[in-house]
Amino acid sequence: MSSPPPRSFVGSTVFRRTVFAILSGLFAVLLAIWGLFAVHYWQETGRVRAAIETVETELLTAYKTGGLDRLKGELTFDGRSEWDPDWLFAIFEENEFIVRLLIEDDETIAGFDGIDPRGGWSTTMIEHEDLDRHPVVSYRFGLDADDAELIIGQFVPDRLLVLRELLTRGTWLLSLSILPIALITGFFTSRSVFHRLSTISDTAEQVSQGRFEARVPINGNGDEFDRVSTAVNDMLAQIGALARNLEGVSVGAAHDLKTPVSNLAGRLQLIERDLNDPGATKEHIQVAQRHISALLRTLDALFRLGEVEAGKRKSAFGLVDLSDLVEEIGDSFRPVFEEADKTIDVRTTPRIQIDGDGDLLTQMITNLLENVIEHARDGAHAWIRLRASETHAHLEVGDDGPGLPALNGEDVFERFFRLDASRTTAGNGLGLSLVRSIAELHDGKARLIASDPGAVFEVEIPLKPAT
Amino acid sequence: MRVGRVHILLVEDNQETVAFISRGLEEAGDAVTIATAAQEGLLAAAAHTFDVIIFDRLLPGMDGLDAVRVLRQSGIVIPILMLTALDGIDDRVNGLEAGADDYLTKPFAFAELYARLRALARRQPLAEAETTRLVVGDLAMERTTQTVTRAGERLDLLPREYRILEYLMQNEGQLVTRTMLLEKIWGYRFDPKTSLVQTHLSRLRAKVDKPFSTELIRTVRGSGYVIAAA
Repeated sequence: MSSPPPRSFVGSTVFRRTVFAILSGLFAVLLAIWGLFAVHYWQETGRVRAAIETVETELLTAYKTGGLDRLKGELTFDGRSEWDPDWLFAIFEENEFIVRLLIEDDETIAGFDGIDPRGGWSTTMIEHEDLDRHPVVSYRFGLDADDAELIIGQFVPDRLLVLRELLTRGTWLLSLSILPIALITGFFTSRSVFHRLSTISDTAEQVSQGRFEARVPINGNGDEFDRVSTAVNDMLAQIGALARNLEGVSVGAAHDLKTPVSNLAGRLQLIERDLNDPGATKEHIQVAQRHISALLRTLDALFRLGEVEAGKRKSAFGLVDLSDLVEEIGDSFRPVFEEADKTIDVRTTPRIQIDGDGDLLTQMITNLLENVIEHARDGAHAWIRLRASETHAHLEVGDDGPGLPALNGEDVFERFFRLDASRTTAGNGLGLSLVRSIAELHDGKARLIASDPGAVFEVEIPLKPAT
Repeated sequence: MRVGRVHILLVEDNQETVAFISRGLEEAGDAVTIATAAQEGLLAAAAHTFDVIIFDRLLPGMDGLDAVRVLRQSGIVIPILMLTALDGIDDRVNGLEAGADDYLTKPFAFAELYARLRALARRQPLAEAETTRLVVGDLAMERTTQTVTRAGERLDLLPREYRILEYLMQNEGQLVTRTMLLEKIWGYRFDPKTSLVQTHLSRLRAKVDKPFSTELIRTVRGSGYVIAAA
């Protein structure tokens, strides 16, 4: 497995997310500012409209009492009914109203003829050399009796326009300056993340090349990278242990399978050599058959172990009286212990029942007993105890010596584990593995609880729940 | 009670196994009919009378289990021994449930197969149940009272010793292998590393043979035991 090719920062997720986050932050701020401005603008122009409505009421009253002439009189400014454009600046400064009274053909009979909005409320621009273009809020309505129209308007307050101008510039400035800031921040953020991640991926690559001792460096500040790195390191430690264990198992398996085959090959050569000596040939054949049996036993045990561990047998579980089973097996093996110059004491509490597989449980107990026969000294006293707690059946198989040399109590359950490193003694180192697998199939545990001076194994299996 | 020449139907597709079994059986003086496919085997079983049928578990065209079921459903009660390369924990149970009488896993020693075939061939369920007295030479077993005497002298046997002796006597003159004893007497379907069977047999022989001048129980080295009048 190769590491992914180094990519540009632009392509990195962290980079894109950082830039995106900064830009959306900016967008949100601008949206809020402009939103507030819009509300403010609406309120301010609302005041202008209210003022216009007041003027409208006054002028309509004048019109109703005196007609068009009276109205026209009201609209005179400085004695003139037609307004000079030069006055606009003064009107603007004084925040006064602009009016225009028109009759047919848009002929202005009073007021300022430079304003010509559409009917009803609107905002139009007035062009003036002193004012540039300035918006005016206006109201245009008809005076029905005379087929005339009246326009009333007022300049939008200057400070709103100033404010808007300010905001527009600010927006541009902010937008233009934030983009490079976002890019630079994105670059540095993604570079630091990239760096932390690449220490992890470098480590992973080293491990994939077989360097199981490689570990991800930890910063020590307890951040999320440290947490991930610690988790990865724990996982690597576990994988390393498994790999070492697997190596041990493979070597053990290869050894235990190869030995009988080599012996067999040797015997075949002897048979060829001694063909003319039927007695010798017969003996070679018998030895060869023993080697084959040893090989088959190892294979059977491996096969059984695989089957038990796959949990295949669970469907065939039924009620098993462990007390009867232990008594029966103890009975069967008592003579075998005696032949081996050992004694066995069996003590059980009656009617301890579990849900399980009788055949496998028999094999489990037998394996424990045979382990004692194989390893306990001559004259050793062995015992089986079966008792029940509230929830579990406790089976103990022990002897009074010599026990096992100081070692990790878990090792004896490993496949192909042999105390005898030279592997010259019989046995395949699978017996206790099978004990543990069978216990675990029954949701139980198998442990070595003491190894000095004697070895004591304990198996705990949940009792059958009372129904 | 010896069994004479028996006629065996061997349904097996593996040529090497066929050669191995048929040669051994013919040398022992038995007649072997060979079928290499399940259908062929079923036809042969229907057409002729055999003493025992050996059925391979994995056959071309049909699972041996189904074939045995078909045979049993069609009313054929001839003892069947099932051969298999499968040594799963459930395989034996399935084989026996399908109607096989015995089950042997490959590879096996010919002596093991032969001993089991003999045991099957001489099996006469009804008659056996009715036999209340078993006799081998001067050894006699009264099954109603569960008493054993040799030369008129009563032997004091433990229950398991009694059962071992009973099984040997039922198969008088025939090899009873260690695995057969493990299965029949102990119900074990695995091979203990220790000399469980040997130990019990030597205790039995200490009671049955040792006090007397002639040995009735004989060890067949590497295979098992035979009981026979000298």
